[in-house]
Amino acid sequence: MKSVERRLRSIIATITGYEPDSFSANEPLFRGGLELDSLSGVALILSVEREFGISIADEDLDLESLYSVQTLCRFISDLTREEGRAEAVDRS
Amino acid sequence: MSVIPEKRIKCLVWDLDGTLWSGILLEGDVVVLRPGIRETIAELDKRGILQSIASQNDPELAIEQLTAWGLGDYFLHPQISLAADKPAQISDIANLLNLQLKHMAFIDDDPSQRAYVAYALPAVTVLEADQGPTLAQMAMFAVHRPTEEARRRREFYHADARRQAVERSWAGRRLDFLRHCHIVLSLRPAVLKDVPRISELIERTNQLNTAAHHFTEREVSRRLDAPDYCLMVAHMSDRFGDYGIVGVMMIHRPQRRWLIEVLLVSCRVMGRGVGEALLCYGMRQAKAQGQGSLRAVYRRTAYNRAMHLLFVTHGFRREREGNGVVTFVHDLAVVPDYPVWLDVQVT
Repeated sequence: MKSVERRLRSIIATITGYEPDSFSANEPLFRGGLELDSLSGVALILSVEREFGISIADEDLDLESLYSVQTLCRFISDLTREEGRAEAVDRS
Repeated sequence: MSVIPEKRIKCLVWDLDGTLWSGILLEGDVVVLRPGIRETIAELDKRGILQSIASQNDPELAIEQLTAWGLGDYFLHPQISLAADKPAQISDIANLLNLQLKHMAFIDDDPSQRAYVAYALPAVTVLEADQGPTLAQMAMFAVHRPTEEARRRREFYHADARRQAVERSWAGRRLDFLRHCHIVLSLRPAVLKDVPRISELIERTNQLNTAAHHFTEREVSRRLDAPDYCLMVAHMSDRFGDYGIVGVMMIHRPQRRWLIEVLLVSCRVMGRGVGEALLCYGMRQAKAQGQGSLRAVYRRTAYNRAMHLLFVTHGFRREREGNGVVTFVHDLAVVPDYPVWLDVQVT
């Protein structure tokens, strides 16, 4: 299975038209970097939710998690781990 | 037939054979425009209600016929094909115009097509062809007072259709496309004649609107005159044409604790950086006037998630939330620049 970062880069590439490997993991995704705007930002969140099977609440969104590929990867990994744990509890 | 008063139609989709004209074009009939239809089309257009077509027909013949009557330009994104699926055509039109289905109406003489659309797209208002001449009298097509923007709305959408056509075939980066558009955004303080358009935008805008409630024209006028309010409008144009007034920001600015009460962007120009530019302008103003922070309120709805993202990605933090209204705050330590692809002109 592809890493979280590879899958995320491919989503961002689709939205921005940048090649998946043409930007650094620390490049800002929004202002002062790839210049995603609020609308393409919503497209990004929806694609991430679909790709990783997670749901992201608005109140969990902040610039720390949305800043770059690196921070968003960490955010997604935390969320998939949490939801995985919640599922495990549900099944028990 | 009773009409739900709050129901507002923004786009009417016409069937052609038997609805807009009598006769069947494909069977070689000499088709005749039905009585009262030309007047209805012109009147709805004047009110800023968009119109389109969903028809099973030969597209070239149909457009040729409409053009011969001088009606060709009235219809945006007409969906005419020999293998027509009307619900799909109506959905496509809604997507292309960036409208919700509940703001769409469809008129057709064929009961089976009406039933099919009503079943497949329950949010769409379905009308009978015989209602054609009297549509302008129906409450769902009423407007208080047509604004300059309403009268020119079709023209703005035609500009957008030209832009969309180029965007669809654009192979490179989205950012390069935005630069290619040469978007000029003029920000200026609102004046009295802008008030109807501002009220209209506050009322009509669902997706990119932070306003906690609707403002009457009177409430808007009062804030226009109040010394502790700043009311800005954004006017946009690009290489494809003019889009009129597309954004509004209302800031309450007492000596301390400035608050953005309304920030909105017309759905027509979503994704062009208008909200970003207005927000940056507000932050710059607040900082220049010595404010140590700037607050913004935002009413959470099912549609305006983009506004939440707008604040968050500009460094605003949630301060508190109650009754679905979120207050954001920014410390103004670092204020972002205007989007790189925009030519922002402040007057």
